[in-house]
Amino acid sequence: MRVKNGIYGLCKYIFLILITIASLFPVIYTGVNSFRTNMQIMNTFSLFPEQFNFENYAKIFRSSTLLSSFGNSVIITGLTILFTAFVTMAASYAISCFNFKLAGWTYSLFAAGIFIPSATTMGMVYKLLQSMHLLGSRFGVILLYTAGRIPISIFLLVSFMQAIPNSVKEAAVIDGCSTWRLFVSIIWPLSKNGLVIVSILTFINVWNEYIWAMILLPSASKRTLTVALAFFKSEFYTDYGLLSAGVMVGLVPIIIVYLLMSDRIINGIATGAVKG
Amino acid sequence: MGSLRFNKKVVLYLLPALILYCLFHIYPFIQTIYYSFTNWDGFTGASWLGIKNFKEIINDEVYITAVGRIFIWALLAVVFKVGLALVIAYVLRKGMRGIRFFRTVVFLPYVISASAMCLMFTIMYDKEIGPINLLLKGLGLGKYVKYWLADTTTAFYAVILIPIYQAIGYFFVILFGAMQDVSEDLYEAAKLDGASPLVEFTKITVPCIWPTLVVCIILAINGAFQNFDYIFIMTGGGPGGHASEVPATYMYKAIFQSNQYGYGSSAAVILFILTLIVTRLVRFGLDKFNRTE
Repeated sequence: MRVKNGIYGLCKYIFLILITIASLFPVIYTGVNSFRTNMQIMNTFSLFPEQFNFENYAKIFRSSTLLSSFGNSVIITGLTILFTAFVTMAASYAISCFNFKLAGWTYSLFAAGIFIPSATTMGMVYKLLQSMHLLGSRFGVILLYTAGRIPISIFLLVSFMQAIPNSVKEAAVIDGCSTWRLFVSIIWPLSKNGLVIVSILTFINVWNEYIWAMILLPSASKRTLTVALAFFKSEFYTDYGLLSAGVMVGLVPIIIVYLLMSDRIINGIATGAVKG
Repeated sequence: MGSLRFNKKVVLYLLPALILYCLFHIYPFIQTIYYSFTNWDGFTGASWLGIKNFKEIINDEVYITAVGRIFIWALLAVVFKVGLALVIAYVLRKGMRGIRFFRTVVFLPYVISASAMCLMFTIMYDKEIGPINLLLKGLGLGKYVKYWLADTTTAFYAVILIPIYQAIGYFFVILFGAMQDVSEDLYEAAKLDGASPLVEFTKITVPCIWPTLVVCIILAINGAFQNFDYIFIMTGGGPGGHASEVPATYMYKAIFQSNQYGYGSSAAVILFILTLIVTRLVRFGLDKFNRTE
């Protein structure tokens, strides 16, 4: 029995080590390659760079498109998080705290809308933005992204807000709290956790988004990082060192955010999904 | 839903979200359905075609093959994204030293962007120096070395390995969370009865997390059906034109490369209907399976 347990335990650890290697390998491999020259990469496989050569990174920062794309991603992601926060907090407030039919219908609409594949609406959204003269505009993309984050953010926020005891809300109203005061002074502070999770998820989602960014922001000056990286592939596909450095530049922000927030992110997704 | 008395001002709070959403999702969706019955090219007037677009698409071999592909993808997605995640979650169920580290590691691929992952894998799939081929050679399986992305038989699978790989961590986190809610007493009772881990798994774990499991399966299928990014970035539907085409890329090409808004819209509508039908059927089948257990 002991031996059987021992073997089972050993297999378990080997299995886990394999999974860990598989999960980390692409990033480590790419990171290592970003410090090597193309010649070195082509000649030998190695998990440790021969030297810490920053030449590739220098080339990247000299090539301005990647940097401006980074800036575009920051602007677009930041503003989307901001807009999403305000729009969804307000709507979630209305849905979770008040009793009226439109709230219920709206909520159901969001639930049903998840089944509309984004591919289905591609052409028409393009035309819509064209008619609004927002094609090639970062603002147009921000609006679109915000709209896309609405369903999931509202689901999460509503469940957080419903956890606030009714007694608290009712007491505030009895004390003469206006709708606005209730929102700003009570609901918003008590929903901070939900808001943080929503913001982090929005960040990951928008920062990494590719399709719409590619379709709606084709110009080199307005492009986001994900699209620039994809262009990078066709431009520099022969220089693996340069390519790797480019990928690392794109990865660093998200990895930093992830390492700082991983617990919150993972717990948020786990509880949100299990409840939903 | 709430308990407070309604007053007209509250609608103002709801409006921005509602308007944004309807404008960018509901309205375009309805438009897509409308235009799928026309021959709109995006500029000139559209004339009504009835179901001509639909008839044409169903007869297009490229489209049919594309649809077949996403079914294969959906199957692989469920088996690997959900299945593998389930296994990993179960193995780790009891928690252990370093569980948090491990969760962070396994979830990492999911937060990386599709385009970054595709770039990384492009290098890894390289015929000469890519680690994947090197590994095969090292294991003595040299004859399986290929130019994964350029070979018409393997290109599709090489591409979809990436989203599947990335999503395993996501489903692992969800299923792991669900497993935490399963009461430890059940497992202890089973142990007293001398149950093996396999029996524990099938008779206790799976039934207890069933609702979450069903949601995961539906999400995996939905994801496989709708996915566009990876194929587009890695192969553009190729090589050789259509070796890895999926309905989403087909639709994209029809609309944005051939300006066939009407025709492309019908491809989109078919995809939507297909997704609805399949997810309904799967849910129905799974519910029935659960009830007969």
